[in-house]
Amino acid sequence: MAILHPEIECMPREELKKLQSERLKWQVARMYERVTLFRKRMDALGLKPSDINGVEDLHKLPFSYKQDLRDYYPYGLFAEPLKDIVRVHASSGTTGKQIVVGYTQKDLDDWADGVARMMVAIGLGEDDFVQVSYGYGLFTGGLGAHGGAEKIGATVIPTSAGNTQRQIQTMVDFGSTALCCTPSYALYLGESIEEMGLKDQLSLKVGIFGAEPWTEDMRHTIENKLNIKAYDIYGLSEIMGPGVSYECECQAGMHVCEDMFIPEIIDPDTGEVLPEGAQGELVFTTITKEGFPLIRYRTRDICELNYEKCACGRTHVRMKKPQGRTDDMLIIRGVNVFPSQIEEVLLKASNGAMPNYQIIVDRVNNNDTLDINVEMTAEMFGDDVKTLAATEKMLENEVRSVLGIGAKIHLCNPKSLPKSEGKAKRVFDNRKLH
Amino acid sequence: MYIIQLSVFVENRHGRACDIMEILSENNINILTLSIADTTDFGVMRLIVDKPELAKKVITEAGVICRTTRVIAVPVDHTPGELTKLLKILKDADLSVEYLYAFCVEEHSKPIIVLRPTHREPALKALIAAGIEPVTIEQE
Ligand SMILES: [Zn+2]
Repeated sequence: MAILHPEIECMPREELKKLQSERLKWQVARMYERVTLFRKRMDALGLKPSDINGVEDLHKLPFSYKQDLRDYYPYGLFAEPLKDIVRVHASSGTTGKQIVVGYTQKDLDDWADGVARMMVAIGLGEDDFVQVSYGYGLFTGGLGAHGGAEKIGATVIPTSAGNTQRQIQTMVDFGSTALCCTPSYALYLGESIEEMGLKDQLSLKVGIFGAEPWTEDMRHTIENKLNIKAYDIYGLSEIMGPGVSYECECQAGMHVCEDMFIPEIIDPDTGEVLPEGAQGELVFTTITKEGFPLIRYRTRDICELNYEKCACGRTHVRMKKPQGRTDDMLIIRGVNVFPSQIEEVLLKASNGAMPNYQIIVDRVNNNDTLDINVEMTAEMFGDDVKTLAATEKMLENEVRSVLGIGAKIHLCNPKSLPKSEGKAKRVFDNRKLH
Repeated sequence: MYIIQLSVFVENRHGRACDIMEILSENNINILTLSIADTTDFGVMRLIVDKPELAKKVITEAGVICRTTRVIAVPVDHTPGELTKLLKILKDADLSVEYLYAFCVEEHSKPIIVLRPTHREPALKALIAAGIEPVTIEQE
């Protein structure tokens, strides 16, 4: 398949390192001058911009955090005069104040370029009809995908999210060949299309899905329901929006646009940079961003990086789909455990209808214990103890094979667990109480 | 040929069995017999009641998982060796028993054995061939 900018995307890594070093030095110097918080943190470490000679010095720089965006809300971290900011995006998140980010015209061009690289990589071009069913607005999804599709000269169909019937009618009538939306909405569209019996009237080839976690199982289901190939896109508004990294046609990890963003993997507790291939927290430094640059921004996504050259020819590093969030991560008997992994097992075992559950971690005689309470469904109940014990055993085996550590499953009656609002309530780490 | 048995999932939690009894009595449902199979985590309560469908409805409404199954009920004489005779018929037919328990009702003079064989239809056939006639009881 095609490559939009082979000279950048396939740049030998030594050359890429030089380019990154130059850009990093430029960014550090201008941010030191323009962003008060950054200057204060550099000063506190006794660092001057001249101490940073290249990417090898990246690890010396101070981290930045989501809280910074709240503390300096709305424009306190912008690095260009507001007259040169041509757009803002914002996200509210589940807790606290919203955050706001700003873009210069060049930032928007770079952003569109990242998304365009992906679209070209998966075979899209000027003959395609790209239906953008991400929400348009302060959320970066809609306009992010929109910009990329325009850049490759495709015909954009900006349906935004919602109104499923009309969404599907448009898809059929306008001959959409690519769909951009969240994976859960893709699944919902697929189911509705099946119900309406319109699957054979679709012209869809590919889907670009992101902005929320999804599993390989979901990928296969979406691919079957919509008769497409489904590709993963990653991004966060603090760094840019969708397109910070993306899957190429090989679907073997997501290429980070490394000429714009330098990723690192660190130990979330100590802040130490971890060796290549290790699992840890993903950190990004934006080296071309003008309006709202960030140095060593802690994404709180747990991830791995692969620096091997990809079969597609691109040299840019590939990141794994994030395995979870540092906020959710539990360390049980020395193993990293994410509630999402347990959720995946339960989802699979119950044929896609997520049962309510609770995760309880405790410490007994200096040993960590992991107990999972799962609400049963009527279908899971036979009239004998054997079937139930077998269900428990099956879930225990699955959990063990996914997590690498054992757990005790407790089946319980429907609605007997408190209904959870937000995932945090499902996890009880009682070790902290002792 | 069968009677209806109600199986209820009971978590090992204080007062759980009592809760279920309360639901039944509030709805004027009479229990003819019950047995509990338990593990360390949970139990399955098996009941023969006079109104199994109503019982299933009210227990389900209370958020407790239950289901009805058809089981074989056979009368036996209250003398030594009767149960052996019964089980030998199944054994000779290559059938096993998942569980069994017994009860008495006024309408039958003999004790009644409730049994759940591994395969219901062949078991029924084998019993009838041996001259043992399963009973039914009045259930709504
Ligand atoms: Zn590739």
